[in-house]
Amino acid sequence: MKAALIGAGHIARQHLACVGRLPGVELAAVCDLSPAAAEIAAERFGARRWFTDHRAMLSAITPDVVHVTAPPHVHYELAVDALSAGCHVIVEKPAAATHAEALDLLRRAHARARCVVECQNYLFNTPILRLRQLCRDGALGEPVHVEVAMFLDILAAGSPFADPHIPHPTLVLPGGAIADFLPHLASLAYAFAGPHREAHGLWAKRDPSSPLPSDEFRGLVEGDRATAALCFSSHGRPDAFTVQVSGTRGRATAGLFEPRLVVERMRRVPRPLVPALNGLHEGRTAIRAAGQGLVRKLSGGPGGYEGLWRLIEQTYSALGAGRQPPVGHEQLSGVHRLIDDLVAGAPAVR
Amino acid sequence: MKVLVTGAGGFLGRHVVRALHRRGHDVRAMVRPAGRADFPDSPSVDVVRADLRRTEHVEVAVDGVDAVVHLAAAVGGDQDLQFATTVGGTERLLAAMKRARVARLVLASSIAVYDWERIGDRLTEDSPTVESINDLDRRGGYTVSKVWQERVARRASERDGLALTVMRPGFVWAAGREPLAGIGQRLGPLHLVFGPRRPLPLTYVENCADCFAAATASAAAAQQTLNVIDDEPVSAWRFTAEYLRRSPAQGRRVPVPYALAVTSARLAQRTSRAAFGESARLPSILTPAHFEARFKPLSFTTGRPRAVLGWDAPWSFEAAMDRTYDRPGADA
Repeated sequence: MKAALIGAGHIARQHLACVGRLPGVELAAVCDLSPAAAEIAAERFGARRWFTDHRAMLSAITPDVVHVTAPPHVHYELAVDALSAGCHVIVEKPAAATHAEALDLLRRAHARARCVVECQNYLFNTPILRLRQLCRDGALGEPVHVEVAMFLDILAAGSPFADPHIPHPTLVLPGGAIADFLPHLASLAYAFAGPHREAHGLWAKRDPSSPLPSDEFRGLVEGDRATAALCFSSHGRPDAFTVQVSGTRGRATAGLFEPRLVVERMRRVPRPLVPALNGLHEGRTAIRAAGQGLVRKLSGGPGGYEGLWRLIEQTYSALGAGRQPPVGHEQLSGVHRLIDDLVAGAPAVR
Repeated sequence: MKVLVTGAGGFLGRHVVRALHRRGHDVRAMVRPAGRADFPDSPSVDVVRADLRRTEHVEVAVDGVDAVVHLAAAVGGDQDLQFATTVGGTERLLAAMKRARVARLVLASSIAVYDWERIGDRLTEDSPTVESINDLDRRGGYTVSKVWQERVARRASERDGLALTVMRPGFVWAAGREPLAGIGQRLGPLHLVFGPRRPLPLTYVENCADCFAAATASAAAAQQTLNVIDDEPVSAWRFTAEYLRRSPAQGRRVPVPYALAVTSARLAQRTSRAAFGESARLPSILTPAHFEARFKPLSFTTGRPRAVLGWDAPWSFEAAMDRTYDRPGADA
């Protein structure tokens, strides 16, 4: 298969490094508005050609798969152009600014018998895969409640989201900079709580001097299988990203920034011993995770982007075999329908 | 001559504005939209608020100038952010200059572009620079950005007939901007000085700024590359002693032979690669390519600015130290 990429910035490095390792996939071209950025990415990752005009690239290369890794506010229009050129599309999150745009992408993909895959990559990180397996095996019983919480200092000095000089491109999206992270939160809630029946978002601005319309977000969701609470905080410290699933027989917490999975079970021992056994398990898990985290940092490779690499690998594998990709169209629609409800009432950028 | 200075609100930029002003040029100081815009030593300076990431901003900034001194660059952030800011900004500046028919550019590059692993014992303007993508990636984001910034400027110069001068300053220093990262490693109260006798490629900020100002108006500087390093050799050991004696900083110097330090870095890399393969990562001080770029003992030729510009550094090391630490905050 011939692959091409539009937008040679930070996240493109992960896409290109992963594509370069896939058997049977040729990186045919890279495109960026900056000639230097396109040229160096092509040189670094062995692309045959580079372009500064994505339409010229699509026409000259006729790729099978196009990766859209440009800034978020142009994902939709670039994905439309790639689908119109008859390509499958792997698009960074958010694939679209609204559910209506997401549906339009799906309609265009369906019309051309192509796939559009949004990078809901944390679904494929090891702790989440293990958590999903626990749920499938019924180890936690029936799911009751899901908590997805991201604490990330996007207001720190030097953060592109809080650039005092020019506004970050995400600020035009409903929800502002937090909208850049909502697909992660929403896709995890969707995966564990199911399609939503009702959802409400609460948006707050704790730092009045920040350029963001909101710097705190909370969401409450009633899903088909469980309820979910979503949190994005720019102020809570330290940085963390956790998913906790509480079921009728146990509770499991997956850490994503510092990967780990801690399981609290109802054990077949006298009740007073349960906290002690769960505590021992948690301690062992924390020590093992700290060691693995250090090895991960020293060993290079995808690090926290392991889920993205896995998603891309599985997507190419599915496309090659004519199967449904791992993030399907139903999920793309469901996640963006949830995001639409969560951002209803979010303040716009001033 | 009307000169646009990008990055005018920065550490070197404020001094370049002053040096150009002193030499009688009309200066347009480009500062970022929310950046500092006060130039008390140069009251007649024309301030333009602009961001190199916005084409429309850059077009306003270059309109009506005769020359550009391009200092703005990213010094922090990840490699891709540095590249987008520094190289992308330079691309936009070059395009705007072409449209506005501005044909003179003085570009602030860095001695970071040199391939320190391939240089024997003396660094000159003709020493090899880092070229291959693998070597660039081993050296990190700042070097990648500076090499590519030079590359796009030289291409524009060849293509559009731009009169280009590439300036490669050494360690630009002033109060609070001492080149400690190029001297060694601090461990609590101890200042480990790697290769204590090696000369440092120092340039006192006012000397460096004056050299930029001299180059801007010099026809002979067109198509030249100039290392900007002060004449007087100052060892890492001596600089640290003066710094500890004159500044409020505390601590003791500990000499560490260069051979011992670089061997430690090589051993760390070998061990890491044995454990994790070629993709292994280490802190930069334990990465031999980074280590050599920061600490390798070399001597430095300083004659080309004199030969091309007829320029001599106004301040000796001793005088620069006096100006720096006897006037606290003067260079902040």
